Amino acid sequence: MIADQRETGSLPRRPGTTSWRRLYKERNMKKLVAVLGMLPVIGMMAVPVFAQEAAGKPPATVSAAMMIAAGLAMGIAAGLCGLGQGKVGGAACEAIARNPGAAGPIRLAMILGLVFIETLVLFTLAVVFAKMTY
Amino acid sequence: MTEHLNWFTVLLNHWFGGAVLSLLGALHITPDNPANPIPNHVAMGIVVFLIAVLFFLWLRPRISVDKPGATQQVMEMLITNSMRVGIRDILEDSVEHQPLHYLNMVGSIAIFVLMSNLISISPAFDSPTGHPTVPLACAVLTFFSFNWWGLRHHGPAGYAKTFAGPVWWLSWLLFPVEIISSFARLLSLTVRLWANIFASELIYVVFLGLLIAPSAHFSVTHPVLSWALAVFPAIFPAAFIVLHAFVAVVQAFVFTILPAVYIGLATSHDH
Repeated sequence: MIADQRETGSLPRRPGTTSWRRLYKERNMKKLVAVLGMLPVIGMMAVPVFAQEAAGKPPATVSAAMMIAAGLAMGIAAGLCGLGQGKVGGAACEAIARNPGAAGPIRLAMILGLVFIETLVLFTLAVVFAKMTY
Repeated sequence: MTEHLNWFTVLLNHWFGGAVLSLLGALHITPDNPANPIPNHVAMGIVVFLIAVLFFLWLRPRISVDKPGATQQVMEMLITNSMRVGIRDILEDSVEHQPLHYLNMVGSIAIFVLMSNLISISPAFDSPTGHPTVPLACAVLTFFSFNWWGLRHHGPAGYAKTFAGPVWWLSWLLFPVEIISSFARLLSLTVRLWANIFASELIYVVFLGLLIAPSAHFSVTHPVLSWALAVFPAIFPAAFIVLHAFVAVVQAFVFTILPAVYIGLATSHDH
């Protein structure tokens, strides 16, 4: 969509620049759809099932369950991050193969995308570390 | 858990520990560790501050337009370079109105974050950004400054209107979402930087531990084999130091782009 607008000239583009703001805005357009889709999920999350909070050191079975949950969480996060990063890397390779002259900005955008995806795994790691009280 | 104290932290606590303790006592704050009231990350933040100030005080009188030295050229590439990833380039690409007005703020945070991330390459120092409060301080500064500049640029009513979204009949829904997402920037900036540096240091320690384990296993029964196996932990974790340098530079880059983008969004007109 951005490329079409650029060709028709509705978005002026300075030569040799990468507009981070434009990359960011393209993501923001999908925000409305995402918000409408998330409403039922938020409604379900509001049910206070997990209201009880264990204080101090949990019993051994809970501790073992936390270990398993931590491993599963990191596995799922890392696996899905692999899928996402594979998509980013593949798209960047295709783009560079199609237009080798634009390799520099494409590589930068790719690294930025990879970092943002990788950060989500590290969010999981942070949650695992915050919740591990074995 | 007993925290490992850096040599500089020990030194700083030896010199200023009593003064800091009495100052905190006057403010009715009890430090976590009364024996050493200055924590590691604060001491390392002071190290980064001192190194940066001394370095730029050293560099300032040596800057020359006619004969730029090597250090000056490298520092100029931090500001602007041919790949358009310097601090000024990022600001010019992200902010429409007077991008250079924000160079001091964004550039200070960028250089502080870059040096804080890179300092733990040296085994004598730890990264201050490996503790959540230091990235939080940078994120809070960013948050207040981009909101302040948005308010200055649009005025209170106009700035509130930028939160309402493009269509008026959905603004009741989008306004709280935009407010929450604005506050979520604070969280994501903090956790992104902290978790990356923390994990990058952790992965080095984990692989060091894994590689030391066989050597430690044979340390009593077969000392010669143990010494031979000790080659692995001495060599291979160095790759993770290189990885840490890469992560440090990329995270500083991200922590420069995102404040610039936020300032650009807060002061843009075509919303």
